[in-house]
Amino acid sequence: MTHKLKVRGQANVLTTLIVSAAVIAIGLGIWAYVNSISAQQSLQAQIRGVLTEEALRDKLTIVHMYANQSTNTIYIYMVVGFITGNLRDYYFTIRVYNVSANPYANPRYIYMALPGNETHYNCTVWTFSITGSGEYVPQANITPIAITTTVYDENLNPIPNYTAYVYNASYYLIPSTYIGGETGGLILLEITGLNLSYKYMIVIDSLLPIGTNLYRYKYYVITYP
Amino acid sequence: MSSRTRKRKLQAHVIGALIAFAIAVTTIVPLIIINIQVINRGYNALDIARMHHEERMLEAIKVTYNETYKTINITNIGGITVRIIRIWIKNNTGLYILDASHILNDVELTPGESTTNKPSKPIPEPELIGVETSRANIFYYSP
Repeated sequence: MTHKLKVRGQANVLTTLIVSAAVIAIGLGIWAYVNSISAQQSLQAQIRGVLTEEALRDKLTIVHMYANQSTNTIYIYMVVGFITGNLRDYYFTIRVYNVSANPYANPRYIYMALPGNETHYNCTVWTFSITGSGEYVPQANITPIAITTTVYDENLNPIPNYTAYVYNASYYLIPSTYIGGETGGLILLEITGLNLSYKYMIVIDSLLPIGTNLYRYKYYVITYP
Repeated sequence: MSSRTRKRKLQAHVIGALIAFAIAVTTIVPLIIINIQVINRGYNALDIARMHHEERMLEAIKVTYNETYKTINITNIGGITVRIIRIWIKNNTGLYILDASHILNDVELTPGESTTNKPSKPIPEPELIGVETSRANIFYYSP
């Protein structure tokens, strides 16, 4: 009888140990799952926060724009900087659409990359220097940097075929040293090879590198005429 | 049920409760804290952007050009001190962007203040004169 009770007791202890082990295993499993979701949500919340903040603080201002009808060139002068004076490198891409030829090129849909990007135009991004007499003269071209990673939109969704629709499949980087320098971040976009008898729409996407990817937080639409 | 088994079961319950508590502390609480921080940063950025926008809207400058004396007159007719950083002059030969500190005696104008200056480089027959401020406003004058 004593032996029987001992065996039964051992069985009960064993059952309880198995139940405990199961409870711990399930608990750890749930913890790992919830933790991974939580970490993902935290990261997404932080990225969203940074993008919202940049969109609010971003200050890309079109200060002057004109077109030379005889050379079919559009000149766009922009000032790049941040409201707070907290200088950062500025990343942007350029999209140019012939509105007359592309029915999709409507500011209403420009949040996405659109098909029908023209390839016949050329775009040069210039920085300036100041001469001794105080005149701003174009100094150097900004070298395009090929986009090799995924570009996400404001809602953290990947933008499909983004590189197919931006000029040169590249982004341009204006260094913070230039933004905070004597020219105060003045840059010039010189777009040639257009046919100015048509209507054009130029879209500048402000991008932010987070991790290995690029995130768009704002876009500007410029139309001509 | 033996007292030992009851003890084991109680231990299992306690461990389960501890695990549930650990999940709450290590996942949900940091998530809430991060969300609050993100929201606060958003509000701060919004305040800065709103202030900048309001200041920008308060800027107003009147620009005139005297053909005879080839001088540019700039008057601050807005409600906030402006800092002029660039003067844009366009004529039939091209566009000239000039550093304001090279042209103006005083680049900062308080409300109501006026300044008259002559560009160091003579610009024949300007078609358009623009005065750009540090808040990226540009005010034009067309003769």
